[in-house]
Amino acid sequence: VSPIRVVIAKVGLDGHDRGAQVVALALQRAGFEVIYTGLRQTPEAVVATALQEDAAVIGVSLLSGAHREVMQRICTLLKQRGAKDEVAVMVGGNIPERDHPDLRAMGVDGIFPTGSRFEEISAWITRAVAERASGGVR
Amino acid sequence: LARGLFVFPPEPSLRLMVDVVEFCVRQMPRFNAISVSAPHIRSAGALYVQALAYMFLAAEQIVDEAVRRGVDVNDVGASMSFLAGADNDFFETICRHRASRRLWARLMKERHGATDRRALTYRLAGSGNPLNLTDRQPLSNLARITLQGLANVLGGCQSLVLPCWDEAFTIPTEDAVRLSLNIQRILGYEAGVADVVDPLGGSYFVEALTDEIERRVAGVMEEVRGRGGLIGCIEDGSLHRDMAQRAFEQEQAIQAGERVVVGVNRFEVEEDRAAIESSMHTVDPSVEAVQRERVVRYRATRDQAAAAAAMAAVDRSLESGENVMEPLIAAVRAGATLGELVTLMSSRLGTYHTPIPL
Repeated sequence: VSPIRVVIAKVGLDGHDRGAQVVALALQRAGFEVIYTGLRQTPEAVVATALQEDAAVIGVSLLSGAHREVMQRICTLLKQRGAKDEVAVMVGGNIPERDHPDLRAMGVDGIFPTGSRFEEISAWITRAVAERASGGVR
Repeated sequence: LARGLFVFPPEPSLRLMVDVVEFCVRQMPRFNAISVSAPHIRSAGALYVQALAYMFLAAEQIVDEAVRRGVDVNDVGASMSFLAGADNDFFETICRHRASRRLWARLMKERHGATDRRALTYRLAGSGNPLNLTDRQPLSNLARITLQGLANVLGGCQSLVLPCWDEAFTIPTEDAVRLSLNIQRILGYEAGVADVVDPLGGSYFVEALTDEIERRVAGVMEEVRGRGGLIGCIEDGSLHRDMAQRAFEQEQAIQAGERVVVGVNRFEVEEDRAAIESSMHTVDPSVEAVQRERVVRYRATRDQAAAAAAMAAVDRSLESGENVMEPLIAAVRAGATLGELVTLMSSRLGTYHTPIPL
């Protein structure tokens, strides 16, 4: 079985990517194939990278407070490309609880605020991808 | 190096930094031209000894380049200050500042031939380390910040800036900022800890640790010089790979409970996150449209010919290698925007992307 491919991305001018790099390294250790986009990507570029690389998961790291706008855009783009059901979307970083319901409603599948454990993220990815493969997600 | 705000590659960045230093030394000699800084390198994952070594190597490059351009080494040294911060370990912070003071004076005297006392002085803005602050039980951060402040003062900082207790999860509120300022006021006005210079000098432990840190920082500097220098190690990606790897190991140590973080991996309690996060800063989404409109209007109402001519002058100075500061200031006066100038500068100087550590 080929490893699950995950795109880890930073969007906008937010330069804080210690978290993104640390999670990328942790997922790589856990056996995933990780593509890290580097800083200052646009939602369009992140979605294009994910589709081009045939990634099963997009993980966006945001500490800027722009998570609602950025995640909305990414989910919309994935829906427009007809890929929302194939690609699981997760967001990590400075994501306050009060925004979680809205993020889920717009199509964000996994939310991992600062301090989330590596194994929790890995386990979630494995489960989310398996659910999609078995058609468990509409 | 590690702030995540860089636009240009290392060589052109050095040139621009020295443009600033040269301009300040010649035009505004009492101005502090540059604050060479370590905390962001530490925050990116480097050990503090490495962060200090990279900071001094950066300072050394700036001095070398400015001197090469004919600026007096004493003037360059006097125009520089440093930003270095507290870390988890209280005594290590104190000793790092003490070691840095000696190291910089020696470096300026022996390597660069400076003679003026102002050029040998390690002028230090002490800072905290927001990375050590937690979003769990965040009021505990007030204790961490107090210790960070005290360590900076005992280590001999000239000025002090402390993070805020809510900084781990939001742009600080005004109340939080005032609390951090009051911690400084209490240290300065009530506790009297700033009344004596180097109050821990002579303690066996403090002197031995200071010597050891000085040796280790000098050792890392020597090692990096041998591997192509600071710029070489940035360009070949080794510096950033090392920082990312160490950041990962540090996080792993926290998750495994090897390093105790009160409230995070020990002594946890159930918390009402909604209450804690109720003060969180929110961004009004309409500001984007307002700002876009403002830039469009600003650009439409300026003297177009003057702005174009001023930007052409910036372009010429970028190409010829002369100091870009005066044309830049003239261009801003003529109405050039930050976006236009950065785009112009990247077209001449290139764009830098941090090496991907995977």
